[in-house]
Amino acid sequence: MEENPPFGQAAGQPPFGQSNFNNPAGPRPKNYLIESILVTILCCLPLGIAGIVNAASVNSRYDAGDYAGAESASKNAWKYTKLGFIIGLVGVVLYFVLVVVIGVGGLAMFGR
Amino acid sequence: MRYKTWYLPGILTGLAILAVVYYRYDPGRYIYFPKCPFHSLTGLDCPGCGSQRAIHALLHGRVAQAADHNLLLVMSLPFLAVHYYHKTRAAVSRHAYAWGLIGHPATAKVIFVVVVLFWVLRNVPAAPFHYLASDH
Repeated sequence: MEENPPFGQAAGQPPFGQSNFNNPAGPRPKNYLIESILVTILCCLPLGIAGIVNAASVNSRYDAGDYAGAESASKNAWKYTKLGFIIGLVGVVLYFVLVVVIGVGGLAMFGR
Repeated sequence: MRYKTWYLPGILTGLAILAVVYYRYDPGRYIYFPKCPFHSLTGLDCPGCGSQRAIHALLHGRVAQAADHNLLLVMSLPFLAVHYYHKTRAAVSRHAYAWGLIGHPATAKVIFVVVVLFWVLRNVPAAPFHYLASDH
Protein backbone atom coordinates (compact mmCIF):
# COMPACT_ATOMS: atom_id res chain seq x y z
CA MET A 1 0.00 0.00 0.00
CA GLU A 2 1.19 3.47 -0.85
CA GLU A 3 1.69 6.22 1.65
CA ASN A 4 0.09 9.64 1.12
CA PRO A 5 1.47 11.20 -2.05
CA PRO A 6 4.02 14.00 -1.56
CA PHE A 7 2.65 17.55 -1.42
CA GLY A 8 2.07 19.08 -4.79
CA GLN A 9 1.71 15.81 -6.66
CA ALA A 10 -1.51 14.37 -7.91
CA ALA A 11 -2.69 11.25 -6.13
CA GLY A 12 -2.63 8.27 -8.42
CA GLN A 13 -4.98 6.20 -6.33
CA PRO A 14 -7.02 7.44 -3.39
CA PRO A 15 -5.82 5.79 -0.18
CA PHE A 16 -7.67 2.71 0.96
CA GLY A 17 -11.06 3.48 2.47
CA GLN A 18 -11.10 7.06 1.24
CA SER A 19 -12.28 6.57 -2.31
CA ASN A 20 -15.37 8.76 -1.87
CA PHE A 21 -13.36 11.93 -2.53
CA ASN A 22 -12.23 11.99 -6.12
CA ASN A 23 -10.11 15.07 -6.17
CA PRO A 24 -6.40 15.64 -6.65
CA ALA A 25 -4.15 16.27 -3.67
CA GLY A 26 -2.58 19.69 -3.52
CA PRO A 27 -0.45 21.25 -0.82
CA ARG A 28 -2.17 21.61 2.56
CA PRO A 29 -4.32 24.77 2.30
CA LYS A 30 -3.57 27.61 4.69
CA ASN A 31 -5.95 27.36 7.64
CA TYR A 32 -5.74 30.96 8.96
CA LEU A 33 -5.72 29.65 12.53
CA ILE A 34 -3.45 32.39 13.90
CA GLU A 35 -5.41 35.10 12.10
CA SER A 36 -8.67 33.71 13.52
CA ILE A 37 -7.23 33.73 17.04
CA LEU A 38 -6.16 37.34 16.62
CA VAL A 39 -9.63 38.32 15.39
CA THR A 40 -11.22 36.47 18.34
CA ILE A 41 -9.07 38.15 20.97
CA LEU A 42 -8.78 41.59 19.45
CA CYS A 43 -12.12 42.44 17.93
CA CYS A 44 -14.88 40.55 16.24
CA LEU A 45 -15.64 37.54 18.34
CA PRO A 46 -18.27 35.68 16.26
CA LEU A 47 -16.22 36.00 13.07
CA GLY A 48 -13.07 34.87 14.87
CA ILE A 49 -14.83 31.78 16.19
CA ALA A 50 -16.21 31.04 12.72
CA GLY A 51 -12.61 31.31 11.51
CA ILE A 52 -11.36 28.85 14.15
CA VAL A 53 -14.11 26.36 13.26
CA ASN A 54 -13.15 26.57 9.59
CA ALA A 55 -9.45 26.21 10.46
CA ALA A 56 -10.29 22.95 12.25
CA SER A 57 -12.26 21.87 9.22
CA VAL A 58 -9.36 22.60 6.83
CA ASN A 59 -7.08 20.28 8.78
CA SER A 60 -9.48 17.41 9.33
CA ARG A 61 -10.81 17.43 5.75
CA TYR A 62 -7.31 17.49 4.31
CA ASP A 63 -6.25 14.55 6.46
CA ALA A 64 -9.39 12.65 5.42
CA GLY A 65 -8.43 13.09 1.77
CA ASP A 66 -11.14 15.64 0.99
CA TYR A 67 -8.81 18.12 -0.68
CA ALA A 68 -11.52 20.18 -2.39
CA GLY A 69 -13.41 20.42 0.92
CA ALA A 70 -10.24 21.57 2.69
CA GLU A 71 -9.69 24.16 -0.01
CA SER A 72 -13.21 25.56 0.39
CA ALA A 73 -12.92 25.59 4.20
CA SER A 74 -9.69 27.53 3.78
CA LYS A 75 -11.49 30.07 1.59
CA ASN A 76 -14.24 30.36 4.22
CA ALA A 77 -11.72 30.82 7.04
CA TRP A 78 -10.05 33.64 5.11
CA LYS A 79 -13.46 35.19 4.35
CA TYR A 80 -14.43 35.31 8.04
CA THR A 81 -11.08 36.56 9.33
CA LYS A 82 -10.90 39.22 6.61
CA LEU A 83 -14.46 40.32 7.38
CA GLY A 84 -13.57 40.42 11.08
CA PHE A 85 -10.55 42.64 10.45
CA ILE A 86 -12.53 44.99 8.20
CA ILE A 87 -15.50 45.28 10.58
CA GLY A 88 -13.13 45.82 13.50
CA LEU A 89 -11.24 48.54 11.65
CA VAL A 90 -14.40 50.33 10.45
CA GLY A 91 -15.93 50.03 13.94
CA VAL A 92 -12.88 51.57 15.59
CA VAL A 93 -12.79 54.49 13.13
CA LEU A 94 -16.56 55.11 13.40
CA TYR A 95 -16.40 54.97 17.19
CA PHE A 96 -13.54 57.45 17.30
CA VAL A 97 -15.31 59.84 14.90
CA LEU A 98 -18.52 59.53 16.97
CA VAL A 99 -16.73 60.39 20.22
CA VAL A 100 -14.99 63.38 18.64
CA VAL A 101 -18.24 64.62 17.03
CA ILE A 102 -20.15 64.30 20.31
CA GLY A 103 -17.32 66.03 22.15
CA VAL A 104 -17.12 68.93 19.67
CA GLY A 105 -20.92 69.13 19.43
CA GLY A 106 -21.24 69.19 23.21
CA LEU A 107 -18.70 71.98 23.46
CA ALA A 108 -20.47 73.98 20.76
CA MET A 109 -23.89 73.59 22.42
CA PHE A 110 -23.07 74.02 26.06
CA GLY A 111 -19.97 76.15 25.95
CA ARG A 112 -16.90 75.26 27.89
CA MET B 1 5.95 37.14 -5.07
CA ARG B 2 3.03 36.22 -2.92
CA TYR B 3 2.57 39.40 -0.90
CA LYS B 4 2.51 42.91 -2.21
CA THR B 5 5.74 44.67 -1.28
CA TRP B 6 4.12 47.35 0.88
CA TYR B 7 2.29 44.84 3.12
CA LEU B 8 5.08 44.18 5.59
CA PRO B 9 6.34 47.77 6.03
CA GLY B 10 2.74 48.97 6.21
CA ILE B 11 1.77 46.44 8.89
CA LEU B 12 4.93 47.10 10.92
CA THR B 13 4.40 50.88 10.78
CA GLY B 14 0.77 50.43 11.85
CA LEU B 15 1.80 48.21 14.76
CA ALA B 16 4.45 50.69 15.86
CA ILE B 17 1.93 53.55 15.90
CA LEU B 18 -0.57 51.41 17.84
CA ALA B 19 2.15 50.40 20.31
CA VAL B 20 2.95 54.07 21.01
CA VAL B 21 -0.76 54.91 21.45
CA TYR B 22 -1.40 51.94 23.75
CA TYR B 23 1.77 52.64 25.73
CA ARG B 24 0.95 56.30 26.22
CA TYR B 25 -2.78 56.06 26.99
CA ASP B 26 -4.56 53.65 29.35
CA PRO B 27 -7.65 52.35 27.49
CA GLY B 28 -9.35 51.92 30.87
CA ARG B 29 -9.35 55.68 31.43
CA TYR B 30 -9.89 57.31 28.05
CA ILE B 31 -13.21 57.35 26.25
CA TYR B 32 -11.57 57.36 22.78
CA PHE B 33 -10.86 53.63 22.82
CA PRO B 34 -13.61 51.45 21.32
CA LYS B 35 -15.77 49.45 23.69
CA CYS B 36 -16.75 45.83 23.16
CA PRO B 37 -20.29 45.81 21.65
CA PHE B 38 -21.06 42.48 23.35
CA HIS B 39 -20.08 43.87 26.75
CA SER B 40 -21.98 47.10 26.16
CA LEU B 41 -25.17 45.23 25.26
CA THR B 42 -25.10 42.38 27.78
CA GLY B 43 -22.77 43.45 30.57
CA LEU B 44 -20.98 40.12 30.13
CA ASP B 45 -17.37 39.61 29.07
CA CYS B 46 -16.49 38.11 25.69
CA PRO B 47 -13.17 36.24 25.20
CA GLY B 48 -11.62 39.47 23.90
CA CYS B 49 -12.80 41.79 26.67
CA GLY B 50 -9.97 43.47 28.53
CA SER B 51 -7.42 42.95 25.77
CA GLN B 52 -6.82 46.67 25.18
CA ARG B 53 -6.10 47.19 28.88
CA ALA B 54 -4.01 44.00 28.84
CA ILE B 55 -1.92 45.34 25.94
CA HIS B 56 -1.39 48.61 27.84
CA ALA B 57 -0.23 46.64 30.90
CA LEU B 58 2.02 44.38 28.79
CA LEU B 59 3.70 47.37 27.13
CA HIS B 60 4.56 48.59 30.62
CA GLY B 61 5.94 45.15 31.54
CA ARG B 62 3.13 44.30 33.96
CA VAL B 63 2.38 40.73 32.89
CA ALA B 64 0.36 39.78 35.97
CA GLN B 65 -1.93 42.76 35.51
CA ALA B 66 -2.32 41.92 31.83
CA ALA B 67 -3.28 38.36 32.75
CA ASP B 68 -5.83 39.80 35.17
CA HIS B 69 -7.47 41.76 32.34
CA ASN B 70 -7.38 38.99 29.74
CA LEU B 71 -5.70 35.67 30.53
CA LEU B 72 -6.40 34.29 27.05
CA LEU B 73 -4.38 37.06 25.38
CA VAL B 74 -1.38 36.47 27.64
CA MET B 75 -1.61 32.70 27.14
CA SER B 76 -1.71 33.12 23.38
CA LEU B 77 1.53 35.14 23.29
CA PRO B 78 4.00 32.20 23.35
CA PHE B 79 1.92 30.49 20.66
CA LEU B 80 1.99 33.63 18.49
CA ALA B 81 5.72 34.06 19.13
CA VAL B 82 6.52 30.53 17.89
CA HIS B 83 4.28 31.03 14.84
CA TYR B 84 5.90 34.31 13.83
CA TYR B 85 9.36 32.87 14.49
CA HIS B 86 8.62 30.06 12.01
CA LYS B 87 7.01 32.47 9.57
CA THR B 88 10.00 34.81 9.61
CA ARG B 89 12.40 31.89 9.27
CA ALA B 90 10.43 30.52 6.33
CA ALA B 91 10.47 33.92 4.63
CA VAL B 92 14.20 34.47 5.18
CA SER B 93 15.34 30.98 4.20
CA ARG B 94 12.74 30.66 1.42
CA HIS B 95 11.68 27.28 2.71
CA ALA B 96 8.12 26.20 3.41
CA TYR B 97 6.54 27.11 6.75
CA ALA B 98 7.53 24.27 9.04
CA TRP B 99 5.49 24.37 12.26
CA GLY B 100 3.37 21.23 11.93
CA LEU B 101 1.28 21.94 15.03
CA ILE B 102 -0.67 24.63 13.15
CA GLY B 103 -1.76 22.05 10.58
CA HIS B 104 -2.60 19.34 13.11
CA PRO B 105 -6.32 18.52 13.10
CA ALA B 106 -6.62 18.66 16.90
CA THR B 107 -5.00 22.09 17.36
CA ALA B 108 -7.87 24.23 16.11
CA LYS B 109 -10.42 22.08 17.97
CA VAL B 110 -8.53 22.43 21.26
CA ILE B 111 -8.28 26.20 20.75
CA PHE B 112 -12.00 26.37 19.99
CA VAL B 113 -12.82 24.54 23.24
CA VAL B 114 -10.42 26.73 25.23
CA VAL B 115 -11.96 29.93 23.83
CA VAL B 116 -15.54 28.84 24.55
CA LEU B 117 -14.64 27.58 28.06
CA PHE B 118 -12.87 30.85 28.80
CA TRP B 119 -15.91 32.79 27.57
CA VAL B 120 -18.29 30.88 29.84
CA LEU B 121 -16.09 30.61 32.92
CA ARG B 122 -15.05 34.27 33.06
CA ASN B 123 -18.72 35.21 33.42
CA VAL B 124 -19.32 32.89 36.37
CA PRO B 125 -19.64 35.24 39.34
CA ALA B 126 -18.16 32.79 41.85
CA ALA B 127 -14.88 32.51 43.70
CA PRO B 128 -12.18 31.07 41.43
CA PHE B 129 -13.74 32.08 38.13
CA HIS B 130 -14.39 35.79 38.65
CA TYR B 131 -10.61 36.30 38.60
CA LEU B 132 -10.92 35.62 34.86
CA ALA B 133 -13.29 38.56 34.36
CA SER B 134 -11.83 41.55 32.55
CA ASP B 135 -12.46 44.09 35.28
CA HIS B 136 -11.83 42.09 38.41
